[in-house]
Amino acid sequence: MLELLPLLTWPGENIFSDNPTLYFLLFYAPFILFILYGQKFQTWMVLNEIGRSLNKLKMMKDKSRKEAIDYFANVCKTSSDPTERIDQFLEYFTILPVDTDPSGIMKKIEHIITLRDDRLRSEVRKMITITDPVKMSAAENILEATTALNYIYKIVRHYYLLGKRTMSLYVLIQLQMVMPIILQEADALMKAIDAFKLAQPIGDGIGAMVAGKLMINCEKKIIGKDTVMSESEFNGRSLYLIKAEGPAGNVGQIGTVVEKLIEEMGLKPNAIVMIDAALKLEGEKTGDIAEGIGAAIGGIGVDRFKIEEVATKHRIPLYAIVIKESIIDAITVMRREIAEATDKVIGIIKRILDEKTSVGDKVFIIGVGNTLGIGQ
Amino acid sequence: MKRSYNKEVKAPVYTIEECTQCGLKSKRFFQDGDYVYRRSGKCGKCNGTMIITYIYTEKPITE
Repeated sequence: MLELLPLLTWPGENIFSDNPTLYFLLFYAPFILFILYGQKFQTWMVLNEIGRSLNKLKMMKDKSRKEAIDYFANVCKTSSDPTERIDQFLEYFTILPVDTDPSGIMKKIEHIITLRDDRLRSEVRKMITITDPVKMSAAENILEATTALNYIYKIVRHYYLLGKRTMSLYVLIQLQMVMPIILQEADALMKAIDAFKLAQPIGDGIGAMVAGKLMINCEKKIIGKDTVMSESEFNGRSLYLIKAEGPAGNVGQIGTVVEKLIEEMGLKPNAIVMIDAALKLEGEKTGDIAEGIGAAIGGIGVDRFKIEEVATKHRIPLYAIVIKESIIDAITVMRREIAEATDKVIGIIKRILDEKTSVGDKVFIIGVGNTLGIGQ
Repeated sequence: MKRSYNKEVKAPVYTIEECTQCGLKSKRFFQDGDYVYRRSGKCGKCNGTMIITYIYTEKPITE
């Protein structure tokens, strides 16, 4: 501060001693201004920053919509211009069941989710003229990603406009804080569309990839909706290998299939081994493998609930193997680190079979995940 | 002063094929129609069946 003093004086005089107004304007006015309008300034700055992010989201949303329309028109050969129908899909919503009285809610959720998936599938199939299941499922996946981007944009815009209208710094600050994460997820969805268009495997498919590798050269049979099963043998154990049917982008109905095999077909296993991708924590390495106990299956919870129910009823041990990855890795083209975990996971499965089961036991090995670009 | 920034470019996607008999591996760029565990042809070394074992991308490149 002392070093600045010579700057404030002309040789031989102090400009402030002759001009108290200038002194006031330079030293006190900014304090008063910031005390009175500091929050307003901050609000404008936050609004400006969110506005820029919102523009990015809008660009992503528009680009994904255009990509969806192009894919439907050029690859799926729709009979007419798909623009209007796709725009209707973007506004499509699902009302989840009331959870104030949670008794029996899983059946209601399953009903609603199945209905939503069937409706999406039937509407897509009505629009397109091709019959290739891989392209049809890719179209469904692209539409889902586009709908998600549209929804993210609308939610962010809602809070941005709400904050702008009320000039509420607290609404805007919260939005500003989560914006980097929202942008990251939106970017991942954009990249996912590229993978869907080319039917390339995504990170989430690693569980299915492990089960698929064990199924090579085995006879496959359709055991449920979009779900396949093969029978195999390892060191005297009977293995029942289950995964969603690839290479189309399916997740199958794993819970329903396990329930059906045990309850209806009387096939009671001595153990269930489940393999799935799991979200890694920051600092953990992509492709790291972890072992645990429980039903390793994501989604809204219906499949996990069914597997847990039937496993508890028959006291079947559930072993879980997960491959760590970020949310971005999960929905974009599979990374090398994840793909190369396949053989290590198979090694772990074999060890679990040797250590936890006996000769003559029956074991379900379930590969969970989206099978886009992954056969069997 | 020229502004410098990192721009992410699309990382290439590779298809890895492996012979089921002699284990010979080959790596090429992904082509439309490739999927994991698809039989992709005959092995150039032992005439065994080549199968696609991996389709993956390597770390995004920045320029």
